[in-house]
Amino acid sequence: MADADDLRETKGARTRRRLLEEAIARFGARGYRATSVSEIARSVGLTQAAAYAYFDSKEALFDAAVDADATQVLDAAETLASNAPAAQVVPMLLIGLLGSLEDHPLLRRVLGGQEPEAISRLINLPSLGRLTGIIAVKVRDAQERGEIRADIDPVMFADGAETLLLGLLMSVTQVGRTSEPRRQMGVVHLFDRVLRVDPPS
Amino acid sequence: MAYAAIVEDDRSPGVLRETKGERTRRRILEEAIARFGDRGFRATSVSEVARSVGLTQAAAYAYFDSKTALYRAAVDADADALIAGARSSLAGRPIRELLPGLVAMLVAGLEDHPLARRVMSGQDGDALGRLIDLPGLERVTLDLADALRAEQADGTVRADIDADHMARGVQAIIFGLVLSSAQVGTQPKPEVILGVLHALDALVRPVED
Repeated sequence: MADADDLRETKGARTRRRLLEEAIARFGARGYRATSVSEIARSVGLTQAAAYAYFDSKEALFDAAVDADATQVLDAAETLASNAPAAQVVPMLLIGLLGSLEDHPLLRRVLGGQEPEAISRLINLPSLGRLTGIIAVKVRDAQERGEIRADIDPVMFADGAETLLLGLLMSVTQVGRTSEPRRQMGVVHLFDRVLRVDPPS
Repeated sequence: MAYAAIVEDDRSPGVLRETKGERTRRRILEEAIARFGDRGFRATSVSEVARSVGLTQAAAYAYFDSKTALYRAAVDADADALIAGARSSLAGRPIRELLPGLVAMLVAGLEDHPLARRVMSGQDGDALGRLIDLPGLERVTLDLADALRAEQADGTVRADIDADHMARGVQAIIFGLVLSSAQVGTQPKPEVILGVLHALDALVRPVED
């Protein structure tokens, strides 16, 4: 998939990307404290000093890794949201995001409360803002087509849905048992009904 | 103080009838809530909790088998008191006030319940799973389901949802909101609060033309 990109990527950009990929994997597996910049550097064939040419500090590397891992998940969620029927966009996002955490251990770690310093970065990510914007636009367009209820404000609804989704992801990763079927069904049931116009028969 | 209210609630006529053993148990728990809440599980010893209510460590173990048992009982008692406080001040409110009211009272109430706050903010990770199964939370959920059914009958809550499923879903959503607001730390922006209120409201409100 990335082949064409790889060819065009400069050597510096490629090294930076490989450092980030390693950082995501290693910080994700063992956390900020137990991971050193020198082990990340070594695993891509660099010295620690050379790695510092790309990222000023361990903290800067960690922040960039969290942003990159979360952005990847959110970009995939944008595609999912764009293709989902408007009335089902929120429950589909909830299920899609939960599923993608399996493959994104660093994001999962942050949502899981194991890196408390990093959590406030997530809510300010540009890609989260874009995702919320997509929800608002979908809701507004579907309202104009008469497909979903007209009596809600699309922007306010999207802001609220973003916050509810974040809270749910955090509680599922941290409590585990919030993902019991009866609770999960309840949440999906709620979000499935919320935008509909007609009571399903 | 808040904990005494629960004791009263469950065993009326309450605190006056408390036996000496029950009183000692309650005082141990109150101390345990304050101290575990302040410094966490590891940095708190059973002997300091015992001493502060005038007991030896051995005497305290007559009430709680282990430090873990004392800690769990303290978490349960503090969180139950928080939930019971919110539940009693919101009793009888219409659903449209009840849902945002629960979120607001639970978030604000964490200030007065240091151990529940500690657990919700993820500082004593293992205990978080206990909170979701608390009997007090289950009671709130049953209240919610009853209130939803009553208002469905009145036409003020949309009829096309299952009240029991909905109450479970609302419980999970509220839990998630309280947890994330305890952990994200920063004060949410006004548009975020407004958005949550709007979305919660749209969950239950009948569709208007």
